[in-house]
Amino acid sequence: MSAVGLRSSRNRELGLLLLVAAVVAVGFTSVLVARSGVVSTLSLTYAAAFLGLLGIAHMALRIALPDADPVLLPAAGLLVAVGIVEIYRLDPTRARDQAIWLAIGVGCFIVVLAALDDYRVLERYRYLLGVASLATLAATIISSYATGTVVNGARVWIRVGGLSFQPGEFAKLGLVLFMAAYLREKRELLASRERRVLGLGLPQFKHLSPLALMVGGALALLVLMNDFGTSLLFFGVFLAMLYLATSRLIYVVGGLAVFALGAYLSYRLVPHVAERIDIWLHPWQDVYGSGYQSVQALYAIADGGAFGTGLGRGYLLTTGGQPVVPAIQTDFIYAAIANETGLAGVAALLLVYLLIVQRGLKTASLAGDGFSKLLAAGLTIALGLQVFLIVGGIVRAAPLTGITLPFVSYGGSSLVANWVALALLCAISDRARREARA
Amino acid sequence: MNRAIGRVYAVLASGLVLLLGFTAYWQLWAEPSLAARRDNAHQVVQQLSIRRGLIIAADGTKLAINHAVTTADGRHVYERRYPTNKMFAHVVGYSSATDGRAGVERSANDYLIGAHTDLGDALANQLHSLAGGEIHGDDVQLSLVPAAQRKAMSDLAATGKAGAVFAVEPSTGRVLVSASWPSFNPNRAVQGSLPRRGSALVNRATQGLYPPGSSIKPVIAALALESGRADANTQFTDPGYFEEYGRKITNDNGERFSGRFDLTFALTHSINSVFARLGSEICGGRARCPALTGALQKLGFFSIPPLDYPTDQLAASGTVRSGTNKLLSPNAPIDPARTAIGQANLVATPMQMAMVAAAIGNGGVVMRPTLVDSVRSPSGALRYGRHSEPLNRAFSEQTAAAVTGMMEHVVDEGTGRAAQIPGVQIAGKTGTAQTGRNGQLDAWFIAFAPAQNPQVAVAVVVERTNQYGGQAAAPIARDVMQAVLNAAS
Repeated sequence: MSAVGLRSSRNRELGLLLLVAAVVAVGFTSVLVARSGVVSTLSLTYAAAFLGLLGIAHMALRIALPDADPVLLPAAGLLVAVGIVEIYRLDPTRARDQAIWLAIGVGCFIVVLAALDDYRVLERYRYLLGVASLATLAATIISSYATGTVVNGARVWIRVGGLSFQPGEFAKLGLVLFMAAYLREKRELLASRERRVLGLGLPQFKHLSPLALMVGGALALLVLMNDFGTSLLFFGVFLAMLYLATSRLIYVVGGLAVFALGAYLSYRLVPHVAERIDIWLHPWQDVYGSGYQSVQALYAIADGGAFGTGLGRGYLLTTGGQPVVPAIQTDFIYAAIANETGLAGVAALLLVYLLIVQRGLKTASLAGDGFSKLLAAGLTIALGLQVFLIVGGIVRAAPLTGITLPFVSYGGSSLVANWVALALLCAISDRARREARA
Repeated sequence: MNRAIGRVYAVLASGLVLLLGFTAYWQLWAEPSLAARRDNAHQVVQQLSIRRGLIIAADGTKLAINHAVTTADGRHVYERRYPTNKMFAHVVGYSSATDGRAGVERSANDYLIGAHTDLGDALANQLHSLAGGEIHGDDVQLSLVPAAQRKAMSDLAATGKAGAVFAVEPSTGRVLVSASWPSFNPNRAVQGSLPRRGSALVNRATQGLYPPGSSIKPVIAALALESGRADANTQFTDPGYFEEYGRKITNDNGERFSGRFDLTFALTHSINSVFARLGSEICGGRARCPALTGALQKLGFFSIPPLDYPTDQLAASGTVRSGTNKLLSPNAPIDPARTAIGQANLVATPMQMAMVAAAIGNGGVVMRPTLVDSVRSPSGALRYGRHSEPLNRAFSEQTAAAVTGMMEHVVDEGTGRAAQIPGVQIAGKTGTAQTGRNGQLDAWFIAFAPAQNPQVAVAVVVERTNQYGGQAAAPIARDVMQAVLNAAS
């Protein structure tokens, strides 16, 4: 029984991976055809290397987590494929770097599978993880002030030797793990109504304080980092997990009220935040200055139309090789994809994200214990919310934030952290699906 | 917890659907209005794949050509090159992926990218481009005369001052010279290394507003004749000044001409007291003076000239609010006597003053000025051909002829002797305007030649000099007119 289920899950995964392989082949070939002269058939080695890496991840799942959800890996693989093709089309050197980061990411994916016989041991290290995450964020800020590493106004980078990292991407994982463990432990206490404040039942303050402290500390650090997007992301994930743990909407309502107040205050007090909000509301006010990136991204998206210009056929670089939209390979890669694949392409892309969100939350609902549920849901919500914030910022559904499009954007830290998150999700789903069947 | 998970899923899913909705809005509904915007860098890059038409001067000199480049992402595109460098920078302008477009490159862009065609041609172009073919724009032929333009630029450079020259063909309105100094190299705009702002970027010929000084006096002379206030025999005397609003308007250097003389003598020697009085009389002593401002309007003052050139690179001449360049309405009160000697708040572009000279030379009729002579497709088919269009009659033919005679005297024996060309009768008028800065003058000269059948009318201004119009500007006007006449013969 188990052996049959095992094979069928992994075989479905393999089938889906073959579909991804087809997409990758078509993507690279299309760029190759559109840009003959600059791009050589060498590009096909990228495709081969990429598929090889996905094959290794697939084999690792076959051995370590035979029952893991069969959709997660191919879906993530598809996103990486879209990203790497688009990055390759914009800047072949960066595609090579991204391929190396992908190899490291897949390596971490396998390490997590191999090292964590049972991911639930992580629950025991909750305070260690929480404190380590905060310490990482603090170290980033201190090193940024010490070395003057400020990128686009944000202090989110740390430089070691020639390499740069965004530790916030890993701190995000650590804090989700911490919150899952902490909320699992305290959820009854937090859901209790021992005290009555203004007619509302609330738990005793002492149960709330460590949580408030931890999250407040994280948010304070992020304000110091000047990284609006990550702060929004953390706060959103925190509220959603609190809601899941307690099923009490009062936390969401209260949290949103605190958030609204905080947003208003930072709008008035923090120039970086005020600028982001102003660009969001009036992007055309300073077209050649602060609004340039936002406005040019909209032009690129608009030009894509329903079906796009075709991969490699969009007008995304100037004759000097400068991108028409600044940061088009990283934060703004959605604009490039929307330009070249059109509404049809980004609809497919968003559906893939929806698929991952659906599978992640399905895993959460299948999982047997509170920690697994909260962890799976937290990781999934973090991914979904991040997509909403960055894409929403580009299409003006939300203020612009400088965060990556998970699995797609160019950037090592983000890619590696997402593969680690994926490994955790696979591990949870493996256990949950086996238990559900038993 | 599973019910809560379901709710969270619903929220996240609607968020993603919202993103799709917004993207669809930009891609399907907002697309046309966004594509039309000038700050759209995407469109500028896209248009680089079009082989723009050439811009050609009257003698066939190529002013803008294409240079094939391959972009970092392997696209074959064309960059503009301007072989004449600084020589035609302001008038031809530039087309750059980073700095946008200016000058004729902007005003004639539709032709240059081959978009200014009928539906059939547009469809053929579209099919051609879908088949992977290049789009070739149409070639634009200008009326500019390179020999005269070069002379204007080198003469302006030699003054060591900023300045401008504008010349037109009086009978047609074809623009022959549009020179502005200091200039810039438009090839730098293509490389994106043009300074964001700077005095060199301003087209002084079409945007520079200067008090015209005495160069406006031919207009006053014409109005005096037309109103019957003076004729060929009217005698004037010079008290040395004219008093208005309690302050004296004096002649230059407190000079005073003795005896009785006619209007021709007054213009030949640019006698302020006479023209200030005439201005006051024409206006009946009133500050609201339709007789004067109406005549200026007919000459083109008080509105942006209808040149086939970007509107934001053209300025309207007229009376301005003190200390600003803010144009007032023609109905606003003026200071008639001081306006009549080209001071007070009257300002004009070199282009406008060239149109004044051209109108007098053309029997009183103002012609619509044009830069583009013709547009041809790459295969040689005529897409557009200019035709001459009268805009207004500013003066009667007799008045124009009389004023022409007076202006001949200015060059033959008056303040404009430096503009003489052996064997050619020139009609001209000097102007020397106080700039309000201590000792600094704007030197003007307007002229046309040959006086009786003019082929060229010109206006020259040299900024902030310490010389009179007859010294600083007249020789430049002479050289430019000579160059046009030589090129024509």
